Amino acid sequence: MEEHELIKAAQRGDSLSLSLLFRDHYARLVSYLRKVTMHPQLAEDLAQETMLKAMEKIGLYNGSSKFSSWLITIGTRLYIDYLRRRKREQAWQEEQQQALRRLRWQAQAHGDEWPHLLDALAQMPEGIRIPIVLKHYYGYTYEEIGRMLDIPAGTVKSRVSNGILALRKELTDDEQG
Amino acid sequence: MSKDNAKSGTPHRSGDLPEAVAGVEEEQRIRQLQSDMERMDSWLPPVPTELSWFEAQVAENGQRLRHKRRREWLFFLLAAAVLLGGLATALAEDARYLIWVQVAGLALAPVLIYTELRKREGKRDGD
Repeated sequence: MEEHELIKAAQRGDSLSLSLLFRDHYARLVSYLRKVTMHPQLAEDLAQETMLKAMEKIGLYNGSSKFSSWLITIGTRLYIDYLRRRKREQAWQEEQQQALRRLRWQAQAHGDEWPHLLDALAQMPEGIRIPIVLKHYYGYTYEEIGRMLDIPAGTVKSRVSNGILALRKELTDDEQG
Repeated sequence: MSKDNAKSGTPHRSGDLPEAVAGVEEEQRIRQLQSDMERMDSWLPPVPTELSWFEAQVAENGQRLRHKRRREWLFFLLAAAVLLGGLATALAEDARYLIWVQVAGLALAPVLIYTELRKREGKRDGD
């Protein structure tokens, strides 16, 4: 069955179609959330919440964006909401650092070195990290990212530019230091 | 190139770079970043792909949604009961000020609920 047929069936309440849709998009969603959160456990929790939210709102999906983009938008907004609640907590800072240490360890366990660029990306505010990932890894346009994050396209463009500049500076300092 | 690229299959187009930072070095940095991000998935455990796992998730989420909707309805019914109870008391005691407060509450509640629901849907769904 084609994706649009699955969506229509899911909107009519067919749970098998919904399961098939999620199966087709889950890996991509988790992969995206891992890159923006730099916290694999949180990424999986958010992916689960995204499925729940998507089930709740599937009737409102009108096909004006790809289904995968719709899921990414929901996941991104859930992540932003999550950070809004937890960002000021001391425990959250520690948890994020621990997640990064675990990621470094997992890279080493696979015989790789954890890249400095990902470290620099992880240190950036999410308002910059998310547009960079969406733009330079997933290839979305500034307008599409703007709609996803509910901000003007010009703001996205300047955040991405500033982020890339900051990334460059960070790495230059790192190489010199 | 990223295998899960959403759009054109080319994660980075040089024309997208801001003019001030356009250049070979930046392009290399971006390509390196793309390649590092792609490697990230290979360091992490694979995600479930079996249909049965997703069917179980959908069934569990369906249950959670039914409970959530039931809670919301209970809340609305409780709020309506409080307002109607207040109105009945005010009418019985012929307290005109209270009657108007209750009537205004009953009239405003659906408007506030509708506005809040529209706002939430608009903010979170992006579609």
